Amino acid sequence: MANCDVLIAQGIERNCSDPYVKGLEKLGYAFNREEVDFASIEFRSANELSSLPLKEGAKGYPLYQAGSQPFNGVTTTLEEGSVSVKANHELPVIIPDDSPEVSANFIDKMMSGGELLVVLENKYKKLADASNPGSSAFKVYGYHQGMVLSEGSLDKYSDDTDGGWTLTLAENGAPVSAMFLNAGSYSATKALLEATLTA
Amino acid sequence: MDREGGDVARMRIRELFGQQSYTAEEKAEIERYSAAVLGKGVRRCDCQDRYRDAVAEMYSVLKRNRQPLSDNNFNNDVMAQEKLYYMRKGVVIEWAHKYYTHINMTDEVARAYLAAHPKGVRYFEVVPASPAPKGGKKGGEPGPAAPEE
Repeated sequence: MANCDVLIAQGIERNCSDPYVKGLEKLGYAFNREEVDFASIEFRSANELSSLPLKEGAKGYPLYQAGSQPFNGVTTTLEEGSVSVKANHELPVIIPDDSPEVSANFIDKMMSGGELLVVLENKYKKLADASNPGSSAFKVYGYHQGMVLSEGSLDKYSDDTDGGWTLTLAENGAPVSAMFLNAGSYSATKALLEATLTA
Repeated sequence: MDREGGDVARMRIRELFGQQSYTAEEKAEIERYSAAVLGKGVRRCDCQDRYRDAVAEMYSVLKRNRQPLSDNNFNNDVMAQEKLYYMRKGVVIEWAHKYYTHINMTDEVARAYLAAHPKGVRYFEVVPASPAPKGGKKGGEPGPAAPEE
């Protein structure tokens, strides 16, 4: 439909067989957005990618967050625009480091306009869904606009960062509330992501 | 690359794998080996680790072919067993109840998969110019990344 279907197609009910749980796993995956081969991406549904092909020679980078509440502060807010409502994603990343390598290879690249596509693993994976198991496990941030550096700080005596950096990555103005990566099952998507970390 | 050249290359790749940085001559050398071993050049980007990544990939390919780079088997012609099929990163294929990525895909599995799912060639970065499918296994399943042919 040229003007887009805006009719809801699902009710909201309590999930008794696979209760929703909050939180994220410790390991995330970061990709340079310009190294993602968008032309080859395939969709499983409107909000689900079935693959995340990278350009030749590109790879993914681990984004590991220690502690009991990894990626604490990841939020999505919906904001009214003049035409439609847009989604804004915010993703704080703690870097317990202060080294020339992390400055040159990560922070300075982001300061210079680097754009990332980040995949985080939800604790809630929807594994009990027989028709689409594991479809909620891996969420994609930055698919539409890219995750860019919005702010950052280094507090040498901070207990929250062990004296390291904290950066906030943000995507503003995404046209959908959420994007997921689902290669068909939890195991398949996990294998896909882990393989991207190897050159 | 002939047998003698392959032996020299294997030793050299192992040496390069142990280095943290490379001179301009070594970078040119890595470009040559990358073309011979991986069938592709070093990635084109302003990335500090691209030469190191290429060496790591070559080292990994040689190890994956079950010809470890140890002193006592340099005479095995690993280069002659260089892979012909390379999957793209960021895709996964399910075949015969196993998941395959660019890390564990073998030429044998690639041939069988592509014989059954010719359109799956889009999940490969490198395939032989004239692939000659052989041993197309029946009963395998298309991967989740390749649901519809």
